[in-house]
Amino acid sequence: MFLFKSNENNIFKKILPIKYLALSIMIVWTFIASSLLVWNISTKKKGTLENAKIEARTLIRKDILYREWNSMHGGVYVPVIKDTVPNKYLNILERDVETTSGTKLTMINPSYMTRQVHEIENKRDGVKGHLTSLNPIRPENLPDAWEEKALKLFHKGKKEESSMEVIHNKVYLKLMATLIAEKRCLKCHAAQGYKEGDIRGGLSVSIPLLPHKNIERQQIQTLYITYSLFWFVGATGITTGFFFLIKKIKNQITNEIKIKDQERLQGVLEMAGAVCHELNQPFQAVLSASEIIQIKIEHEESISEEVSILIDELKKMGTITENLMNITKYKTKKYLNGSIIDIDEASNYNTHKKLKGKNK
Amino acid sequence: MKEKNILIVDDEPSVLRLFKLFFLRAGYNVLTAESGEEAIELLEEEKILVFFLDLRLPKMSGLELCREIKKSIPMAIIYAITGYASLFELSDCRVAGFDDYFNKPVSLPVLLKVTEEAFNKIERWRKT
Repeated sequence: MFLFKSNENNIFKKILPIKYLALSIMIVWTFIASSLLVWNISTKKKGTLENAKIEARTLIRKDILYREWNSMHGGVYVPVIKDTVPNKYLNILERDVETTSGTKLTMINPSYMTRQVHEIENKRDGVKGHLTSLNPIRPENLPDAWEEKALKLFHKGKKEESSMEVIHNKVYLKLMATLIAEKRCLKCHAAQGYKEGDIRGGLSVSIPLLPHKNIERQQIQTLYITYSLFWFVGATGITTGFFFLIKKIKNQITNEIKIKDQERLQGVLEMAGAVCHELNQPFQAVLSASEIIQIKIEHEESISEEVSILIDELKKMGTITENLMNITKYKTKKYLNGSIIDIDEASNYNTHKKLKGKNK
Repeated sequence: MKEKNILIVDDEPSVLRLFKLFFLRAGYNVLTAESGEEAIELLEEEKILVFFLDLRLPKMSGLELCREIKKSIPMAIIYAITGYASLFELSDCRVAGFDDYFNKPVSLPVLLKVTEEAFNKIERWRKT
């Protein structure tokens, strides 16, 4: 029972550092997998914002192109309808004309056209466009706080400003680009003191982020599943390796114990051989002498020789047991095909006896 | 059979003395040797057919001596007497040519009985 516990302790002591090592590897592995997941999620989120920015830039670019087209023609005449009334801020000659058949037409300049397109865009896609300036002709084109800040940055040299904004409890990407005064623009805006190349204002768009966030959520879910599998495969590898190592150590310890037991058995056999060999010699003499004494007594013969042999052999036995009690070394001698303990060499009894004799 | 010669080989002088005394009283002609080499010398001088050999002898072992005897006297009946021998070593005894083996201490009347049987066997072989 004690030996069993001792072996268990031995195994436990050898396995403990391996357990700590496996635990450390598992922690490092979990940290690596989590860091990669966090990094990937962060990249995806940045990507979502970048995609929204690209969409915003495309819309602004398209607005500018239509404005250029309008401006190229010096404005466009359209029939006056309920939603398209003459622009009261457009002070030019022939703003309103009439066709020969009597249809009333009014001129649509780039700003009016942009505003109308923005209204349609807002109704249809939820995209909020706004043409703005720090010095607008139309007061409704005054910037909000965010736009004012951006416009001021444009005057310091910045070309674009963007951020995520919450408008009416919905998340938007708001992006604004500069509007540069071109020669054609000065037809209406020269009176405000603009020169060609001046920053005249900005065109902002607010893109709803929900569709982008939905795609992002799906991609992040895929990432969670992929990285969970990635972590699981690694963790399984670490656990399998750990158990394989434990099994190997247990087998090694068991084999060591077997070898030790075999060595012990070998020692026991060598000692048994030595005791049998050393004691059976005088036993043989004692038995033979006793048997002869028995015969001689029956014939009334002298037994003095056999008795003296008996005494000598009994003394030899005494010496053998003294030697056995004083064994201090492991010494063997060849015996037939094997080996037995060399009791005389292994014991220090004779040495003591000799030393005592010398001292006397 | 006129001369019943027995050779006892043992490195223990007291055992040799007692065995010799006993077998002499029983009417056998007893020769003794304390080593294998001494025993081989005796073989050249005397005609011996029954042997008692201790397995552990100073130089030449009892097993080697048995092989030597069997080589020169195939009819010899040889008994091993040993202080200690494992099962493997006893099997080696049979291979070497020992007819039987005894663990020490062995009773003298037992040895006397096998000796008588050995000489009876030899006598029977001679008649055939």
